[in-house]
Parts: sequence; structure tokens; C-alpha cells
Amino acid sequence: MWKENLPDKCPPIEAIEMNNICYRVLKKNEPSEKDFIPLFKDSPRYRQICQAYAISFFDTYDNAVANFYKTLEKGKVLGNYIAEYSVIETDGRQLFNRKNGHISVWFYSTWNLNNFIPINISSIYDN
Amino acid sequence: MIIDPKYKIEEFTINFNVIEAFDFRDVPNLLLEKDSIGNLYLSYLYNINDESEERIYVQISKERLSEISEKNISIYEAFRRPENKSIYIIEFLIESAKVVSSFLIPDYVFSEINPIPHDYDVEIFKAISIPELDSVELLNYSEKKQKLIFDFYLQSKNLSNNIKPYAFYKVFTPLVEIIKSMLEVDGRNADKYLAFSNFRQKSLGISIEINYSQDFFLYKESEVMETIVQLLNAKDKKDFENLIPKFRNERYIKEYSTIIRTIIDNDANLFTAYANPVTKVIHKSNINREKAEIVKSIINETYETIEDIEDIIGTFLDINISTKEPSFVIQAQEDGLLVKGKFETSITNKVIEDFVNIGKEVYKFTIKTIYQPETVVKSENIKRFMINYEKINSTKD
Repeated sequence: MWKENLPDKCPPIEAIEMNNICYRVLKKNEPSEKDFIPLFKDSPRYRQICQAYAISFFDTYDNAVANFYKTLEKGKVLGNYIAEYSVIETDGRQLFNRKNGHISVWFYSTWNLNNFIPINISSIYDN
Repeated sequence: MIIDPKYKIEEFTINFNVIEAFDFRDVPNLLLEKDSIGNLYLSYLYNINDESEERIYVQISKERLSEISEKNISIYEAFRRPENKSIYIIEFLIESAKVVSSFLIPDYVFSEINPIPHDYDVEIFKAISIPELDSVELLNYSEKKQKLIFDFYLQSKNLSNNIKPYAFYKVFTPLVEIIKSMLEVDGRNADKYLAFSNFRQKSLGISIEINYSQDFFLYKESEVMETIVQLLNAKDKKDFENLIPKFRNERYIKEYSTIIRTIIDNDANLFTAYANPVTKVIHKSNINREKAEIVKSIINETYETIEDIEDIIGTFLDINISTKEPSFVIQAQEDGLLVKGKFETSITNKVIEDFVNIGKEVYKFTIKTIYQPETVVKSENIKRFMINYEKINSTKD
């Protein structure tokens, strides 16, 4: 059912199917499978942590950029581009944190990169 | 962040387990972690690259975690003023979780290099109400203390804001009384053999530490605790039948009935876990309302009482009219059998006024016998009452 092999009780029951416009940092101006592989899913420390299997999106372009710079301050370059997506019900379950605009998405196994076309891609450094 | 090498730890032995992610936006910014003996830590990601992550750890109590959750103190403050006055800084390899470097820094040094933003704020949730200890943690604690650990956790909606007296008086105390009764420990020496630790609010959680034998083998208490866990797991007549010979008296059933009744009345859920450091085994039990209803029907099982009235020819051997319920002992003439019982109140005055001759004069006694058949948890009960007696004109030689 899920793209990743999830731990028990994951995703949480609060995660629901939604239709959202949201934003994600990509490495290049062309999305690749690597952009949608959770960074920590294979780390032994995070094996039982549900969020480690989610893909991070943000509700606004600005929130996505803010997170990019906060992570950059810690030494990690998440990518160079920000893509705008329409994430729909059939893509997976979403958990929205209203406070920081973060959206965790657990993709269904039926999700396919080829059908997940960005609405727009722009360089983070353009603005 | 530059750390003085003098704070470096050569061999880092704490094994952290991530149990909750409070802030995971592409990277694990803020986590709740636990060591192998159950201490909790907040860990903040301050540096990361493709190979490793560097985290700042502060040991934290559940009370402090609640304070952060309620925004009484900030995450920055929690790291700036650690409860144990120190901070760990650990670098892990992401792929293997291997520790690359570790530092232990006093709080006053860390406060000068604290990289956590003053306004860093995320929701701290869930972890505060972690209901049960995990098995590994309980066993580790039991081994560390060299005691049997019996962990008690009572959950109910009406315990979510505070602890109601019933949780202590009608569930916890009866359970402790069963343990004391089986170990034959009385109130005067209970402190020597029992101790309570690891109190948890948000429903009631307490660990009971037991070392009765005062040795490493813990034989008697192991036997007792295994019986108690069997009692808590008993769910049908056969389970209770197997258990009865292991109890020295019926007190346990009185206490257990109180627990069962209280679980039903409060729609509560009682979780227990018992860890034995010698056998390294953990036994768990869970009684919810549905199971308590089944147990109650077994405990309260009764059969019809049988009443019988018979005449016995014989002599009085003893009469005690000075007690609240005057009693007698008679001997049947026919077979010499002794019959004990109580006088029915209607004839007590007659007994006083008659000045009956004990041991010599022969009487016809009318005895009412009330017989209560045994149930799964209660032994049979026979009560005899003398409802009349008449002197017969012959005397015993």
C-alpha cells in the first residue's frame, strides 16, 4: 500500500488524504527519484520513526525557502530549486503542521514520479 | 560551535533510542530519545552533512517535558539550564548510527556556545503520556536494582487530569496487599522488603520493587509474583482452579474482587509487567472492563444454599453464652459425633434459664444446617444453628 516499508502505526491517524498546492526543494531543475527518497529511512536510529519515511513539503514558497536556509545553517544543502506541486488524494496521506507550514507526505505505492509533474520549478537563488 | 577537547569522552557507552520526532522537516531537528535504563533526552540537531549528524543532548524529566509542552519554558532554556547541569554533544554516522565523537560539557560552558535559536519553538506532544515502560527498560532496571520489579499502570479517562483516590485505595493498595499477604509480610516490616519507584501521572503508574529473600536468587518472591501474574491473567474457571492451591488463604479473592469491581466501575484498564532479573523474563497482563466482567462473574458465582433440619439425640458438651453469638458443642448419642454451632437467638434466653446439665442429661436437639456449596474461588461453608432442644427422660451412664 505504501511506497516505503513503514513501521507500525505509521502514518499516524491524523494523516489524511488531501488536495494541496505545496512546495519542495529539489536538487536540480528536473525532478528525479532521488528527490523523493527520505534521507534517513535507512539509518538504524530512525527505523521506527514514522516521520523518517515521509517526504517534506511546505504550504508556501516562503516557508520552503525558510526551511532551506535553516537547514543550510546546519550544514546541509537540501537542493537548489523549489518545485510547486499539486499533491492530490491519490498520492498518499498528508500531515499538515499549521505552525510552520510543514507537510509530511507518505506516498502510496501507486505513486509514480512520471505522473507527479511539477507546476513550476525555480531556482532558490533567483529571489 | 567550537568545543574544548578536554570535554571529549574517550568511550561513550550510552545507547540512545529515538522514540519521538518533534520536528522532522527533511532532517530530524528535535527528537526525544531514551537510554537503556529509561532516562529521557531531548536531542537537537545542530550540524549535518551527507555522512554524519551532530546532536546536542539534554537529559530531561517528564515534568520538565510537560513544562516545555505547556510553554512554561522554551526549548532554548531547557538546553541552557539542564536539570543535571550537563550537556552531551554526540556525532553519529547516519548510515550505521556509530558514534564518531562525544563530549560531556558543563552547563555553564555550554550556555556560552548554545547554538539553539532563542525563539525555536515546536509542539511537544504525545511522549508525555507514554503509558507503559518498555520490556527492555524494565528488565534493565530490574537487573540494575537486583530486585523483582512489578510495574503497575492504571489507565482511565477519569485519571487523565489528576489521580483519583480509587486508583490508590481500590486498585494499587489491594494489589500490594495481595503481594504482602502471599509473602507473609506485615505492615511492620513492609519497608524492608518493598519499595515504590518510577511514579507516573497522567493515569497512575508505579513500579513496585521487591526483594524479600535479600539475596541474588529471589526464590520465594519469584514464586509469589508468578502466581500473582497468573491471577491477573486468569480469565476462566480452569485458570482459577489451578491457582487456588497456591494461595494460603482467601484474602486474595477479597482484594482481587475490589480491584475487579473498581476497573468495571471506572471503565479502567490495568496494565502490569513483572521483570525478574534472575530468569530475565518479563510477564505482562492487561485487565480491561470486558475481561473484568468475565472475572467478576466467576468470582461471584454462587450455588443455591441447602437448608436441612434434623433431630439429634445426645448431650451438651459445652455452652458459651457470654459471646455475642452464643455457641454450643453437643455429642450425638448414636455415633458419638461432635456437632458445633450457634444458638438461634429465639432460644438463648431458654438456655440461660434452664440451667442445663452439661454432659449428663440427654436431650433431643433440633439442628438447622445451612450448607453453601463450594465455588471456583470459595471453599464450602456449613453453618449449624440449634433452634430447639427438649430434655428426654433418661440420663447418660
